[in-house]
Amino acid sequence: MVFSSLTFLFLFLPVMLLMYYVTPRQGKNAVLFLGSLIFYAWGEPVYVVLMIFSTVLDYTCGRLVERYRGTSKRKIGLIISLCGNLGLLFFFKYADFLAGTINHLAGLSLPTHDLPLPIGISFYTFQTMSYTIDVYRGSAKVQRNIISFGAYVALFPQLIAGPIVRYRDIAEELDTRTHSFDDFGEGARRFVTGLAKKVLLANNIGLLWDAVSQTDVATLTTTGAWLGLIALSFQVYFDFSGYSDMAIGLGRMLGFHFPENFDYPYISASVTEFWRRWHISLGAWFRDYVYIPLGGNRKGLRRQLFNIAVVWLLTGLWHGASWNYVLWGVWYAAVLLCEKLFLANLLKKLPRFVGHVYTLFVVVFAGALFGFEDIHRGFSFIKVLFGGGAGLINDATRYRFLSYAPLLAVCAIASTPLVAWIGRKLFSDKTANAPVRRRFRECLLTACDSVRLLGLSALSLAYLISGSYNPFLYFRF
Amino acid sequence: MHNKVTAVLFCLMLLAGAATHLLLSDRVYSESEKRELQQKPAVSRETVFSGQFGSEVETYLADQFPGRDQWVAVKTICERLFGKRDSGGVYYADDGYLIDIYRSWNGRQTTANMTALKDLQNAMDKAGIPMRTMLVPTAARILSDKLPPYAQVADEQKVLDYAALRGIRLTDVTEALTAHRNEYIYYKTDHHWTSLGAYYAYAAWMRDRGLTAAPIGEWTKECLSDHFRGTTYNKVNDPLAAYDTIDAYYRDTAHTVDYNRGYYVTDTIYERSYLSGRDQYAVFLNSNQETTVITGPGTGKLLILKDSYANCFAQFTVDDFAETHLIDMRFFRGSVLKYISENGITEVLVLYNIPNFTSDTAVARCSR
Repeated sequence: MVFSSLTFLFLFLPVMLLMYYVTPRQGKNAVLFLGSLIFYAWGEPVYVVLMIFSTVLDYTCGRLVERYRGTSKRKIGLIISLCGNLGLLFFFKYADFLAGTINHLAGLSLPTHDLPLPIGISFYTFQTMSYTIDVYRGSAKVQRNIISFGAYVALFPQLIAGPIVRYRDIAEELDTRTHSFDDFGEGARRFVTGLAKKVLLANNIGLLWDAVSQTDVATLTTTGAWLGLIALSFQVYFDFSGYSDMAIGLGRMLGFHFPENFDYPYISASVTEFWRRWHISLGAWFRDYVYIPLGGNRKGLRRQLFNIAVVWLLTGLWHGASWNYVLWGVWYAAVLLCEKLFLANLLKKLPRFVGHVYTLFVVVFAGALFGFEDIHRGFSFIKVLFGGGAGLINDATRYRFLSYAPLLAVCAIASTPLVAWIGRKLFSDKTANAPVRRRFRECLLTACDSVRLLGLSALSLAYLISGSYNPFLYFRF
Repeated sequence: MHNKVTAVLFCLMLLAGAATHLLLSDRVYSESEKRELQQKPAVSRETVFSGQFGSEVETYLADQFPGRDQWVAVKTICERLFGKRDSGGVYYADDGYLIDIYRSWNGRQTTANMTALKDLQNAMDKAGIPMRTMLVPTAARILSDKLPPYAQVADEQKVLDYAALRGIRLTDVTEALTAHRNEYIYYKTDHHWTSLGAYYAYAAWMRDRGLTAAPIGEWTKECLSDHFRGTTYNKVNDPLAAYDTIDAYYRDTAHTVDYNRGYYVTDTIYERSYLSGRDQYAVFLNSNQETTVITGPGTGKLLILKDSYANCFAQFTVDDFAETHLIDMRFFRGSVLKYISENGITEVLVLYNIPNFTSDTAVARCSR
């Protein structure tokens, strides 16, 4: 099930919230666990078994690590967890890719299983691994209650698309959390904002990318291709950050405080900064569990550069089992290494504006690698980007640009902190010592915000309902 | 207070959505979409495990959402405000026109249809029966100045050029329609031409036959409907769309109209019961029937092989001939040649709208 569906909004969520809040404290995790299993099983009725397996595996491994702490057997639990989770991930996500590549290179015909990828497997395996590693390192306490642990793994808000919540981030809240109107209100606002990002912005600007990427490259123009890539960049950002907003919001409604996942990445002035602002929880995961264990920056520059390259190869592969994602990772690795070596110093001397343009170029261009799993199509598209298409611009490009210009403008503004800044300016509490005015301000804020909330919800709903608008024109002729 | 209000509002929204669903009864059919709506999905082991149940529930909720058509309308308004210039295969053109997008045609089907048409024409030539073909351009061609800037449209002239090249005797109505493009010759919300548009084509056809059409003033004009929203409207469900007017042109003469070989016989070509429904263009000749024979006060027997564009065109021919026959190839399974000889047809007109002609597989059967 996805959040941006009517099933979730008007069937699952109301029932879930109701059950959750009427259940006394000690039963809440059980409700969460069960509800989350239903949430997952709705779209993956068979693969839910895998998630339960991963849960039981790491619960047991955590206990094993704890049991043998201080002895030579303490590593057993850790190794089982890593092998189990990475094995699961490898089998479902990478086995076919590897077999296909070997077959292609060596002319063999290794069998492929052709199983669909279980939803969210990249997220929950990383989460459960983080638990066992943290317990092993002693940075998290072992969880003895399998229901609570199950609630952490299956927790429906972040199950499908993150943020990747490390166990230690919410370990305390898993056992003792409070619920308040403040959290619920903040959460609801966050959720609606995320829903609007996904349904109103991402889905619609995505149509532009669909149109461009499906255009025959022989008729595609350079401007058209860049327009498409810009649309893709917005689509990916609003889709992903919208989903994170919804996850964080739902978490708040249930009393959890998840880490932030996006921080206006498109205002970055360097690619290093971009990756500190984009998919923060994934970056943190690779930093804590790959980069730092490899030695991070403590073993000399040469080793650091190597570590960065490893992390980016893995990050690329994490995004998908296909060569284009590897290339995408290599692209970012190359740029980040350049920045580490000299570019960052150079950028510091130039006006910040140059850094913005450079960063946007790197990031938008990366979309061309990200957007085509068929690498040949990707390359011919890249050729068009640099002038190898049907000229600079044509009527089809002009038509597309005019059709999407207002939406592109809204997306551009929504990618910056501008709106939030205006909101703060308008409603900031500078008159704290004038109670009447403060009260008035709060009323005004509440009123404005309620209108915004209802408006965004209604529009999102209109788009969701229209999703099935499908006139059957049998009387067409 | 702020957060309390938000929390309560949010819960109310969820509850309202869930409750109205439970309380309101389901609709079976959507008049505006012309399709059966999703009903409560049945639960079975298979449907649940294949994921079909889940997706049916989502469709069910969307299809049965209270005020569904209004929600769709909100989305359409929103899109237009955001500068979208087409939606659901329709261009938002100037002056309230909604114009179907027709970007390219099927070359193989077009060739097959042209070949069959040429064969039929050869057979007619041999039999000494005059035959002409009229391929009617779309509003996108004739009213191209109303399209949004840079809109991509198919080059319909190429189809006409190709037909001419194949030796098909055309009555080219492009010029006649273009000359009157500032008049009401296409519906704003439907893909058909209006009766007036059909009249100009009729006049061009008469001219090509060496005759002169009577001025339009000689027909009695009656407004059949002034609240018509057609197929193009249904594709976008644009609440801001205009209403079209359907006009009838007739003379004070008696006719008998025989549908499908005596299946239904009446005395008027207007089937007014359609005017209360959505598909109002069907008022002309009872929607699309396999065969239609209309008797009139003229001489000779005209056969029109046609799509629905001919339905309002026939208003103008019924008084010129003793019998006007119409055959819709999509439903007609017999031999056209046999039909022509058995019924003593004296003249043939093939009348299609260009998009239909280039896509309809049934045309290829017309020389059998």
